[in-house]
Amino acid sequence: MVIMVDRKTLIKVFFNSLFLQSSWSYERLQGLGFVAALAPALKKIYRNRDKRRIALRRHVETFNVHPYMASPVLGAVIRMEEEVQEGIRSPDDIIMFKKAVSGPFGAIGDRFFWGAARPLASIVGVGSIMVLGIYGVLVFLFIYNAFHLWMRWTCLWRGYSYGEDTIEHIGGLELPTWSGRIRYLMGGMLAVLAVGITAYMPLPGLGGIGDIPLLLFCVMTVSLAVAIPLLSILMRKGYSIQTLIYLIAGPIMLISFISGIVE
Amino acid sequence: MTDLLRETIMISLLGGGLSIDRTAAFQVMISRPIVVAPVLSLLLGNLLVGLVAGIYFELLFVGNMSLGGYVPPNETVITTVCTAVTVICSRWLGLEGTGMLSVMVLATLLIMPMGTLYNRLEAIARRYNTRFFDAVEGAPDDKVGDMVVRNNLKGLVLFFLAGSLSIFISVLAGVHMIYVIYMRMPDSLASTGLPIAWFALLVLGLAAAFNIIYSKWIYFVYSFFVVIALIVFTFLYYGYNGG
Repeated sequence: MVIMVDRKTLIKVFFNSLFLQSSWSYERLQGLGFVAALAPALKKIYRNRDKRRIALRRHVETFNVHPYMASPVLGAVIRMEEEVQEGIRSPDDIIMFKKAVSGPFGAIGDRFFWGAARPLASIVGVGSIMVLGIYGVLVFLFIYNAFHLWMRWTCLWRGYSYGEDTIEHIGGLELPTWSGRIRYLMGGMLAVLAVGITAYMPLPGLGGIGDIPLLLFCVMTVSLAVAIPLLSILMRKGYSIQTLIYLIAGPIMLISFISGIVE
Repeated sequence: MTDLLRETIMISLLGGGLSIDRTAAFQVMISRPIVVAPVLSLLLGNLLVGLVAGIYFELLFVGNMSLGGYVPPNETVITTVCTAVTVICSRWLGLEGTGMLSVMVLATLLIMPMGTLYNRLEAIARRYNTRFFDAVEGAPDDKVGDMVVRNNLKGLVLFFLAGSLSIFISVLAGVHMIYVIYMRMPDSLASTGLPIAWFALLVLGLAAAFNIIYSKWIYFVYSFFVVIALIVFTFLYYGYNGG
């Protein structure tokens, strides 16, 4: 097996993969972004221009996956293209591979990155801002990006190393299991954040922690802690955040408006 | 050029640029409210508003997920507009503290429905993007290689324009509308009702974060940590004898 793509080319692919969704469209999804990310590698693999054009055309097709999970797919496709160039694989295998991983990798990425890692970073970031001010923003960006960029690069590299066996590699990472663990961690951190908000961002007109009686602080904290899961039940019943904003703010504003008139 | 126009252009360019990160490129989360609001307010000279708005909008939109073709309301544009409007109106009205919170709630209530407008503009960009793809597909063989990367990046311009344009219109309109509404508002609403609504919406944000955790034992884990945190905070601030 001849290695045709060097580390420098993979770095170019990685950089281009950051623009995977630049031309995202309803009909073709990430099709153009994927082939644009792949282009530097195809240039290395196919020295013959005609063969390169055929390879490019092969990838100008509808494709969609979670943007971060495109990395292992790109890596694997580069390895498979090398095998096509060597004549030990059919180009149809690549198309089939892309179709096969698109759905599952998309679902894994959505659940892990959008459903667990990013919300966790957000909660840590919110807590950090409350403690560190503007530096909390840097904490948020560092925590999330150090992890996700490392993950994207590693998955691209491993994808290239393993070829289509990258499916086993991604399976071995047990991302759905980690999503569950992260969610429990989020639950704990959210509880601490709820108590912290009562303490440091008190209800207008009332003092913060230390200024108000202990009993009042406890009552406020418990009320807020109970309100959070109750409100989340409404969301699960199908109320959107936009609807709830008006359902909550509306009555409060109305009551205060009427009380102002009465006074 | 007036100060407001100059500031609005700066806000639109910054917001439009950051909104690209949301789905079109990078996705390194510089488009999240927690980043957008503090950066913007730092430039507008009122960091405190940005930090508060960052926490507030990050929690409200923490559950926003772009799944497949579904694109949720654009939290970057909404945060940019609301933060800018809050900073500028607070400056005009000479507001501090809870007064700024009131303006923030008003901005949220007014700007939120415009999320549909942003999504429509973005939808136009996404439909137009098909042309870039079709151009590559129909290109002569000798031009495919050059067109692939170039056409892919053309889509970025559309997303940038959609974001910038939405922000420009909304900030100019929003600032004037909120100024007029606030000036005509009863005192009870401005000084009590809106700040309480702000706190209630913050709790709603926490609920939005809780909503994305659907695990079997989550109520137990959550309750356990509330009790632990309450005990720790009590001992830290009230001592062993309850103050």
